[in-house]
Amino acid sequence: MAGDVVVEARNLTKIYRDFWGRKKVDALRSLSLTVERGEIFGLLGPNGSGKTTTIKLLLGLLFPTSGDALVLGKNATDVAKNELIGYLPEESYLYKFLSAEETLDFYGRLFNISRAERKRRSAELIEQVGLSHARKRLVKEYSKGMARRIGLAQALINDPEVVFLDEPTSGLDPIGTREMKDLIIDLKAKGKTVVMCSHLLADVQDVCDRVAILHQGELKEYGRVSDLLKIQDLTEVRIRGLSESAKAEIERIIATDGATLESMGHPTTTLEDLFLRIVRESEAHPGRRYLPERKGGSSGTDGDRKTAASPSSN
Amino acid sequence: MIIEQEYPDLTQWPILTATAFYWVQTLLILIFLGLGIAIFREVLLRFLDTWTSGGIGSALIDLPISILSSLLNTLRNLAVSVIEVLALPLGIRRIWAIARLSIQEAVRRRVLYVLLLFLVPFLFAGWYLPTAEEAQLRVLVSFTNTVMGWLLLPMVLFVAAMSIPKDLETKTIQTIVTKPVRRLEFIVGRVIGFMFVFTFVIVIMGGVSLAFIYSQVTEKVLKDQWTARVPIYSAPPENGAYSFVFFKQGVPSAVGTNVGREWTYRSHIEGDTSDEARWFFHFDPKKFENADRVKVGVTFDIFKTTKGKPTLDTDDTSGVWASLDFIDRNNPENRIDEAFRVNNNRVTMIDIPASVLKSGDILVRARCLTRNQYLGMAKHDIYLQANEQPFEWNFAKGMVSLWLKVLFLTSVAVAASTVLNGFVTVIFTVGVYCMGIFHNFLVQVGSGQTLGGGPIESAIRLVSQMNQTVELDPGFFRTVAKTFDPYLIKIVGAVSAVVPDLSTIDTAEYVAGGFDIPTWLTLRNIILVVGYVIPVLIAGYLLFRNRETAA
Repeated sequence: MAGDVVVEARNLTKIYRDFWGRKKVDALRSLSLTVERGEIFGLLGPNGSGKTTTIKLLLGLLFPTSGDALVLGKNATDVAKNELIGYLPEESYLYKFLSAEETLDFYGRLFNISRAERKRRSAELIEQVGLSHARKRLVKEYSKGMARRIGLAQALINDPEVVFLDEPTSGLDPIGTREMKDLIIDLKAKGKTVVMCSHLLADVQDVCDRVAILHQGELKEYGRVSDLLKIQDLTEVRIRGLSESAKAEIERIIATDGATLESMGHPTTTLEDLFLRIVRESEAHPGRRYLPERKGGSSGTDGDRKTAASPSSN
Repeated sequence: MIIEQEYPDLTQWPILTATAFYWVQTLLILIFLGLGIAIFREVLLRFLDTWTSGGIGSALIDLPISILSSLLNTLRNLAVSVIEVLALPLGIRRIWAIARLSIQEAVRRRVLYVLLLFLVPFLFAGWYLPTAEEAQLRVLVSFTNTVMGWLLLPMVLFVAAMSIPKDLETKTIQTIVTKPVRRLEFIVGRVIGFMFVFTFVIVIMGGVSLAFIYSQVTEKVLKDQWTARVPIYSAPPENGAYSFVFFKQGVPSAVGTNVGREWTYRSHIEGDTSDEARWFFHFDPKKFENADRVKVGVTFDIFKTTKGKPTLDTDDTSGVWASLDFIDRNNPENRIDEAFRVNNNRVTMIDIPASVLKSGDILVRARCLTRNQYLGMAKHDIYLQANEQPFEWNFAKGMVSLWLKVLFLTSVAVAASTVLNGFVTVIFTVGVYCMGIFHNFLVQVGSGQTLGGGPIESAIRLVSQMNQTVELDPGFFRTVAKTFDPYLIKIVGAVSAVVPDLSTIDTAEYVAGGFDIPTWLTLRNIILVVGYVIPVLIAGYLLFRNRETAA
């Protein structure tokens, strides 16, 4: 993908300190990554791995201890970037005394959107997230799933170019999850860039083009989902209608190569396997970048791995 | 009415300069203090980090770089802040969105129920308030003001102090600051929204109070005191410096005879002697052009040296008498002489023909006519009544003072709550408010003028119940007090320079006394408070800007 970079982290480091300046947590260590226009980028990691910290640094909610966070070429703390981004927080932090319509109207006002346009957009978004039946009800009466939906709607009120989603499917039932994923893929279809973080692996595997896997504040793996999940030293071949002689021929070639044929083709692992392996290895060798079992590393990541090189601390 | 401390007119430049300078100074102190601490902290932390990771050598080498980068960063930050402050008007629609949100919140959270609470004292107040006509209006005005203050100020405090901490706690702030709202716009929007709510509350409370006062006063009070007189006080004549002088045996003097009264507001002249007091009045002659007769209000203090006869209305030889000479300074022939019996410490209204005032340049000579008695007088003891305004309108003007106090509290609370949590903000704001109300005392402590020494020394005296004028016994505590008090006094002095004098914005005395609140006084109060609120909000913005809004 040769698209332009819309989100970039350069050696992003965040250390939480207490009142006296004593180090509490190294939340993020020298994270470097780029997100390109039009892709769905997933930040993956167990609880406390630094995914939310990364998103908050990119949004300017937190200030980096060192390094830079850039969104649309602007510093993350620059308010001007907010014109073109949308953010769905971990939980929908909304004003509970407003109704769905009023909520969208309020956030629309913050973008200086005209009255007519606000009305049109909020009606459209309420429809889109499936809250038409509850448009007049106060947010405090909403179920968690409904609050999630209105949260997504407020993130999209300004028709943003980059959408940051923090655990977008948390609190949603399976149908809601499916709908949320469809919405995310829909955003991509409209040319939006989506940066999401999640610990729900299936979600990430389903929607993300590329992922960064974080553990204990360090980048462990980074690349295209399809590449990461390929087991490189296994080849899977499944052929229909292959003649017995051709099959014997293939087996012979394999035998001369000293290998045994199990089946042919590249089987894929699940992201869950990969994830658990990374976490396990990371705990065994803290501070080391994940070394895949495949030969030659990943092939199709467009040199992203270079930018993603993470210096190890020991 | 008694005006002990005269405020300069707004047309005089020193007050304008002083007010302007005052808030600039406050702003700079706050900004530099904040920035200094922030830079120091950042540099120190980086120094310690480099020390632990690379030894003291590399930490020392890194130090200048770290200081420089910190300074540059701060300057860049400051430049952006200045731009955002100047660009505030561009965010008017976003500010209004936030203000609207605050109004909606107050309404839907039923903050306004406090108004019902407000009605309770009025149900029973009539039972306890005095009925003497002399005191009625004064007591009622002070009662309603007190009730309004005590109900409104805590409500203001909690609503304003809890709002931003609540936004931070419920994390709703995260969905706000990731929108194109500048943090200054957020703060200003909050304050404006709250002020809309509080203004509504003040208007309702004021209306109810006025109706209550009206229903409680008697017919006579309504006829005599239900007004707002516009006085003209003495003023120095052209090419003269004094507006009020005593003459003792023909010699001008700043003070009269000291009769030993502790309160030195008034000075006395002796009865049946040549002693006199003179007031100069200098005003626009058009003021009384269309009037036939003009009312003059006179309040003197009687100091008796003999018992004399009891004052009887039927007996003209009883009581203490005074004479007032009104002389046209441009035409000494045009004069009028009025003798009246002095109403001790209460206003006597005298009616004089307007013709004597037509030049606008008048000398008034006062004498005491009764032998062996003294009359005490002060500059503001005589006024010409230029006009009368409705009491209701004056009462409304009096509400401006309450409104300004509310604005002050709201702004301080909102600004402080950007870095403090709700509870601490409440305590902080109450502290600042009290220091504002007792500003005079703060200044006295800060300049070391209070009896009994500095804070520690006073504390020792309090505990040991020691007289304020006795020196402390030598010993450990005395050493501690003498060592640290000078510094504490300096700190109190510095604090008194940053806190505004809120006691001066009170105008209830005017309303209760039936005097029109001068427009310049209202204006001055507005300038004083708004001039203070602006830097407070900017300081709050700087703090908020450099605060992380997520944990």
